[in-house]
Amino acid sequence: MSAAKISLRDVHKAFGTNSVLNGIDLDIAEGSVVSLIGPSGSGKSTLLRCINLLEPIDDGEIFLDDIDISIPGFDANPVRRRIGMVFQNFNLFPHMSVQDNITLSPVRTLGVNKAVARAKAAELLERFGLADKVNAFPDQLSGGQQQRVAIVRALAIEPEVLLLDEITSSLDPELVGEVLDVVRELKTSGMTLVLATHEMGFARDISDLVCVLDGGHIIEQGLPGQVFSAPKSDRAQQFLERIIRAGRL
Amino acid sequence: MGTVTGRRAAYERARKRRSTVVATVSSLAVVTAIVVLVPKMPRWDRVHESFFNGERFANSLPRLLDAFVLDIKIFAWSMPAIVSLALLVAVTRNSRSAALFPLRILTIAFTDIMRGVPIILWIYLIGFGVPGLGIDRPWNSPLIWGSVALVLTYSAYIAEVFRAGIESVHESQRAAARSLGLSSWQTMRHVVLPQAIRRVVPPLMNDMVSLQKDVALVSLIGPIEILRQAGIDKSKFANFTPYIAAAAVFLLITIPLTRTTDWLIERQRRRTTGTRIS
Repeated sequence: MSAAKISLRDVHKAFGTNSVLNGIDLDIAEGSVVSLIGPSGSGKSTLLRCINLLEPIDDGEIFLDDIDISIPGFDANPVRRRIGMVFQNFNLFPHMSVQDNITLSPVRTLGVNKAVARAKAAELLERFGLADKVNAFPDQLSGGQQQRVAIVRALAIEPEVLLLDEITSSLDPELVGEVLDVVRELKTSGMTLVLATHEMGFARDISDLVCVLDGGHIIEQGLPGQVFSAPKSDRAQQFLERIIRAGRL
Repeated sequence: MGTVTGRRAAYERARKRRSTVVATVSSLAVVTAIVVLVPKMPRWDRVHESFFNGERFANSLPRLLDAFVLDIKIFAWSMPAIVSLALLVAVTRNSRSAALFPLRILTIAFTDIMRGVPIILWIYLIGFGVPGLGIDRPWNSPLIWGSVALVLTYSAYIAEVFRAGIESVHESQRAAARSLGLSSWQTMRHVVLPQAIRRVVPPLMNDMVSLQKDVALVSLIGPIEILRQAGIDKSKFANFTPYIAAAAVFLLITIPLTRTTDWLIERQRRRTTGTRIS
């Protein structure tokens, strides 16, 4: 086994009596793209939130570069600066301009000089075709633009890993493409990506590893070609058949 | 859009004309009724003489305006203190750190107790009680401790307004801020509070209008501000007109404040909900 960037060992998470993750084991190699697919409620988003330490896990371990970051009381803030996250509903700060959204964390948490942070933001916006939006407010942008700004905001703290939580699920169909293009570019740049997604075709094309979740278990994991064309477990087969019938693959 | 052609526009114009006529006629009817009927009451002459005496009004007004300066002063130093203390209480109460648990309990007790007792009672208790401890001049002034009573009670009310604002900021905003590595205090300071405060400006203005009036309650423990000055004039001349004059002075300040508040509320409604259902 190659050295994993992030490793999960027997991770359990419950909300009250509702157990959402029931023993997740997963190794995410540095520079790889891992897709989490599966029906709604299968635990994809919770898994990402646990990796970012937004949700404390009940049992198990999460390692970042072989350091257990899931120890209760572990300082989460430095970890989160190494693991960025992008959300389904963008979650941009509505009272701040695009520029301020992007520079807030670098300036406040990394102590980056404001002018330097702004230059960096401008550079990132340029790279993702948003240069003219630097002074716009989130409400003035389309969903696709907002999501791209959210990605830039996460990138501005130079994370080593980026978690993408169904980032196209609340976009109009014609805006999905521009966001997925950004993800492709990130893969090219060598960033480690973990994405929860319902875009099956995209997951098949971009992933190095695909995991099918159901009921808080990873019921199938492997190369995309193998998982999508010849799933081993019955439940994974059923899930993929439903997806194919719905015309999503 | 904006053109005056088409049947929709004609309909809107007709409807507007009609509602203007209805409003004018009904207002005139009410005013006429008051102007005609009230003077027909059996004792109107005496009320007119003792409440609406033009000479007394003109005589008292300069003294009342002088005294009103003290109301404005109390308001001016109480308001920033109230807003700061209220923010502190609201933020403490909304903090999620385990270490702050005792402080959270304290803030809950503070808001419950301060809001549970009439303001007048607090002004008496603090205004007479604290100087009674034997504090030296000038720190035993009822003006100071009356203001402190106002600050404490109003902070409790306004802390609840801030708290409502803080809780109205969606959890996903905190998630986004925390995922960027911001600490919980940085999240509060840069992400939650700016949004919360913007949302509660209109109800906050409402409380400021109340405060502007309740400042007069401090007079109960001694300071001669406008209400007390009106009382003095009333006793001296055995005439209630100074009270009417004092009321007029208050309205001079509170009506613009109230109108501004309504305008702010209306502007926020338009921003957040878009179209209006008639």
